[in-house]
Order: sequence, then structure tokens, then C-alpha cells
Amino acid sequence: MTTTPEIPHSVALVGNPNSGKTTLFNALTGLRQKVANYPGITVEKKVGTLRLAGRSVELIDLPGTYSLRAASDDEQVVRSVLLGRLADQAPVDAVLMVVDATHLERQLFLLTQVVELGLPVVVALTMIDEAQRLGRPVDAQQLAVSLGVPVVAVQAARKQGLRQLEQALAIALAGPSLGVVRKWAAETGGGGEVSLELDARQRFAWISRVVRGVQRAGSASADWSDWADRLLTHPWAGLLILAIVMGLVFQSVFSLAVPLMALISSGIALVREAIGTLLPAGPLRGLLADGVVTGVGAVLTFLPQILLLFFFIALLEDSGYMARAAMLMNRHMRRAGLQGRSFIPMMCGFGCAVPAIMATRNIPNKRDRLITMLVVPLVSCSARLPVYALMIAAFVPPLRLFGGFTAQGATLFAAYMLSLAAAITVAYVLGRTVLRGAPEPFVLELPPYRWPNWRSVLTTIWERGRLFLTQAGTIILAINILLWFMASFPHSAPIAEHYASLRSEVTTAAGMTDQQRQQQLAALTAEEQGADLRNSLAGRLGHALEPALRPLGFDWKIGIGLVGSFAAREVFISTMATVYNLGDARSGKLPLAEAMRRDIDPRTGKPVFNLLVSLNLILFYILACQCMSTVAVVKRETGSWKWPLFLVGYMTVLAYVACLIVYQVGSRIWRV
Amino acid sequence: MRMRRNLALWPKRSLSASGEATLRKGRAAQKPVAELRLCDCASGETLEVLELAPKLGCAQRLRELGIIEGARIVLMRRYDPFVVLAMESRIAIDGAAARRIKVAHSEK
Repeated sequence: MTTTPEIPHSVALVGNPNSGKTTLFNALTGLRQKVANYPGITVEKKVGTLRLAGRSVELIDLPGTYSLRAASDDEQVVRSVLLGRLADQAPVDAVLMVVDATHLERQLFLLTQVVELGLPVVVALTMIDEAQRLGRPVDAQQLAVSLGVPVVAVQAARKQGLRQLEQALAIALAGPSLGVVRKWAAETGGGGEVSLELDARQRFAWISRVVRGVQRAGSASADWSDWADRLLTHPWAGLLILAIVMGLVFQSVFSLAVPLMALISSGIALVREAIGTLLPAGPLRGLLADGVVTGVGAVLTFLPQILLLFFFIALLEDSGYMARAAMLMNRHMRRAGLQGRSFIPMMCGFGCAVPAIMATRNIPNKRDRLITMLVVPLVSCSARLPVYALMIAAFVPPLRLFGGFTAQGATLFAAYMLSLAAAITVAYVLGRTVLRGAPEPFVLELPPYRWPNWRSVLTTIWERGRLFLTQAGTIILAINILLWFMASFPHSAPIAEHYASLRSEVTTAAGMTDQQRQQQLAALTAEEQGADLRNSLAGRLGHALEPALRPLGFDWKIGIGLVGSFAAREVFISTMATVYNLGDARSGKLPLAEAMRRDIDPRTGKPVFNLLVSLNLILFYILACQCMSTVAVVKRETGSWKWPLFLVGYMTVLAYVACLIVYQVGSRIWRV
Repeated sequence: MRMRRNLALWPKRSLSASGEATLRKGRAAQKPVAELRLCDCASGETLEVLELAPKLGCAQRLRELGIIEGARIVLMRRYDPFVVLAMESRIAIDGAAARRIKVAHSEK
């Protein structure tokens, strides 16, 4: 006889959305969870482990679903997992079904479908205290008799009933495993087919008989959710409150994240300095200080924003307000071919596209989610602001307009509005071309208002942070190192020799005060950095791009700035400062603005920059996808390179064509 | 018309159970009472679902959520999206779908 290795039992956790499923999952598994995507689709796969009767059991948290009809991706996954048809998922041995006692009748609908599959089922009855409070207690024992499956009342947040639930599961798993039977049937090519065709009316007719036996017929619940809804979903007062709530969220994210990001930046600077003193100058120091540590810094600076934003999103979601926000915005988002649930990610895009794209997980419809993901990067994020600010300060005159507005402020406002308009227009076009399909009719359950469960809020933040660091973070780090390499290599010996001899001339020259000497040396260092960058791969790429950028009014120096921007848009400023021989960005923006204003194109004898070119550069930054972190996170969320490449492609074409038209038309009108 | 309605401070909550009293002018003239649709009702009214139009794409989803022929529902919000209380859950339904749900007034 051969001993077979112990195959862990697996149990599927199934239930309606808002039934307390996630809270129960967290209570049963703690932080022993893994999150991944089901292959090829955007549905999230969450697996945890629990110990039952000395054996380790895999608990699969399936997406919340109302039915096994497989109308959405989520439902399709639930159905496939329960039927044992998913390639990388062994057939499950039992089902743990979560049923909310306050919505017993509605939630038993899914149970009638689940029991038809023939797997052992254990029902976890949640929200029993709430049902009690509403005067509608449920007789769990009677329910078990009527349904023919074990029913355990649990209060996951208070850890009540969990032991009994585990015992019931252990007993269910000790019986003959249908998973094995089904696996065998599938291998021999027979059976395993389940019909779910019973009509909803027939199911509800049976359910209402069951419910009558276990729960007192209640009066229509008139709880405080109704009162809150009358204010919070009021046609205009509700929108006003939504605007205030979003304003508060952004203000909090901004005011809390900015100091944290500054802290991370200064920490990174300290580490770089330490590397500078510990290691001799050379490629290794450059790689560690400018490649790896700066790259890690780029990843970490996203973290405060992501954690804070997801804290608020989890809070809004758990309290029940998120569904109301989606409902209020539905009609307005519909006009752009989107739906209500796209609103929150779009707003998050003003802060940063990376968490905003992660926030699209709340959109269950695949098409709507993809469209939202593809237009969020157009919304002006905070990394574009420094570039706008530089170009506006340098080239837009501070003319006074009506009512205290200046031309500079109006330009900035126009840039933000233009980005929003571009996002809405592209969503409209995508929904009618690439991602054509009937927009899903908007049907959404509004859960009762509840106090958020802090444990589940914290678990959400923990999961999001970890996912970002391990999956998107690694790609961002790799791209940063690549860009560092491009900006530093190849080294040119003649340049180094040339500046070394100039430096020795300065140090040995007579008739100079120490201060003058220091100044000249600093200027030489900046000049050398500039020469190195111009000679590097990135610099050569900028030169090579010039023929393509000329028709937009951009020269090779802007080309180098654009290449550098792919790490992060704000890098444009430090790159331009280096190109203009100003050394690092630490020398400030004003000298850079001054240097850019004075720059004369040797071919035409005219200034490189004028109002038209600088406005065109702002337009380019609004429309182009110059953010590798965004690309990395879209790759992570969609599970393939197809959509991130499409994103870069369409945004680059859009930016190029728009800037081409603006410059060609504009330069003919103003003759610049 | 829509502008005027949105200016009302609070959604009107009709206490009357009789159909004629709660039908607003204009709508009543367009549609006979026999063909009452969910979107024609006032908030607070208890209604019986008569029929979900076969053309309605989300009919099956609505049934799964308890908005099923013969069920009693209460209209909670009479703006697009409409909100009904069905089997003790609040379900938001957009206007296009609400126009395709036939209902009748129901005694409580």
C-alpha cells in the first residue's frame, strides 16, 4: 500500500454581497490570507487557512453574489469554483454559506441554488443580533430542519459561534467527499452537470414557506437607514453632501500623506548620503544611491496615499455610503458611458492614478471597470502639478483677469478642467468603439448603514498595501533602475578628462577668493553633469526624438525631459535643471525658469520657449501617459500586458496629435 | 418638468393609499391607471409587482433580488435611480428599468 500525501480539504465561502461574509472570513482565518487574481480575469481570489480537527483546511473567499446564474465575471467564478471547473483550483469539498438573518428570504435564494450542487453545505447565520433588535429573531434550529443542512448562528465581530461553526464544518468534511466523486466523474468524462434552471418564482415560493416557519412576519422595517437615506440620497442635498464628503476625504489624504511622503523622501535622502560616504565614487555607488534607493523611494512615496485612500474607501464601503454615492452619480456618469461606481476612482485620480486604478475593484462589471481604468490616468494627478507650475510661472504673464483671477490661475484651472473633459470624452469613445457593449442596467442593493468594522477596515488596508509593494512595487523599482542606467551610461572619458583639467585650472588659478573658487567649481560640476546627461542613452534618445518632436515645437532638451518623465512626471524638473547645467533641482525652480526663458534656438535664432510652446508642453503632460507606475499597476490589475500597452499607445497618440494640431495651427496664427 | 421636480425640497411622501390621489398631473393623462409603471408612483407607496417587461435586460437580476411578480415592494425614492424596498432590502434601479416594471397599488 502506498501512502498518498495529505491533500488539504478546501471549503468555499459563499454569500450575498453585504452579508457579513468578509468579516466572517477574517475572523476564521485571521491574517493567514493570500490574495491573487483568477487567471485571465480581474476577479480577485482570496484564500485563507484554518485548522479543523488537526487538519489544515483551505478556505476560499468567493466574490459576493446573488445567484449562480453566471451573469457577471464574479458569478462565473463562483459557479466555476463550486462546479470544480477551474483549471488551477482543485474541486471544493464543502460550502460554507453565509446567510444574513435580517434579509433571510432574499438570501435563501442563493442557498437553494447552492444545495442543488450536492456538496455538503453548512450555513453560517449572521446578523442575528440585528434581527433580534428589529423584532424578527430567527429560529436557527428550525431553519436547519427546514433546509436540511446544519445552521450555526455566528457573530463574527464578537467571535461568537465560531467554534460551533468549525465543528459543523469538520463533521461536513468527514463525510464522503463529493469533490473526489466529481473529480473522478470529470476524469472519466461523465456527470457533474447541474441544472440551475428552476425559475426564481418557484424558488421564492418554497423559500417563503420556509421563512414563515422560522421567522415572524415583520412590519416593513422603518429604521434609521430610511431617515439617513432621505437626507443622503436627496436629489440635490445628497449631491452637496457627497461633494463635502469627497472634499473632506481629499483634504485628509492630502494633509496626512504629504508630511508622510516628505518624511520618506528625507529618509531616502539620508540613506543616499550614507551610501555616498560609505562607498567610493563609481558605478556601484551610482547604482545603489541613484538607482536602487531612489527607486525604492519612488515606490514608498506612493504608500501613504494608497493606505490613506483605501482607509477612507473601506470606511465608506463598510458604512454603506459608497453604494449611495454610486447611486447619486449614476445618471451623470451614464452620460459619459460610465456608471455610478466609476465616480470614486475618477475622483481619486486627481490625487494619484495608482491608488485610483486599484480602487476600480469596486466596479463589478468588467467593461465598465476597464473603461474606468483606461481613463483615470488622464485625470490630472498631483505629480503633474509641479510641471504645470514651472511652465506657468515661466511663461504665462501674471495678467489680472476679472474678479481677482490671474491668467496664471486661469491656466492652471483650465488644465484641470481639460484633463477631466479628456477623460470623459475618451470614456465615451471607448465605450462605443474598443469596449463596445450594452451598458449594464444599473441595479444596486443599498446596504443598511452600519458602523464600520475596524478589523476588516485594517485588513483591507494591509492587503492593499502588501499587494502594491509586492506586485506593482517590484515593476516600478525595476523601471527606475532602468531609467537610472539610461541616464548614467555610457560614461565618456573625454568629458571626464576635460572637466578634470578645467577643475585643476580653477584650483591652481591665482587671484581668486575662496568663495569665487567654490562657485566656479560648483558651476563646473553642474556643467559636467549636464554634459554627462546629454551624452547618456537618455540624452541620445532625446536627440533622436527631436525630428518627431519638432512639429510640436519641442527641441531635444525637452525630449530628454520627456524621457526622464517616464519614471515620474515631476522628474521633468530635475532632468531639465541638469540639462540646463544647473545641477540638481535643489538650485530651485526660478533659475530654471530664467534659463529656459533665455534659451535661444541656434537654428532659428528665436527663443526655444514661448507661450505657445509652454502651453503645448502642458497639454502634452495632461494627455500623455508618462508614468510607468500607472502602467505597472494596470498590468497588475488586468493580469496581462494587453491593456497597459493599449493605455500607453492611445494616450501617446492622443497627446502627440493634439499637440501637433495646437502647434501647427497656433504657430500659423501667431507667427511665432 | 424635471427641473421643477428637482427643486422640491424633500421628496414628497404620500400618505394616501389610493392610486388617483398620488398620480401627478400630466403623467396620469399619458398613461391609464391600468398601466401603472414603477416610475409613475410616489414615494412611500406600497405596490405589487405585476410584470417585468421581457425586454428588460436586468429582469432576471431583479427577480433574484426579490422584485418578482406578485411581490410587495415599497417605493422609497422616486427619482432616477429609483429605490424600492423589496424583501427588506433597498434596491436602486435606474429609470430605464423602472419604466419597464408594471405595478399595481397594494393594500398594506
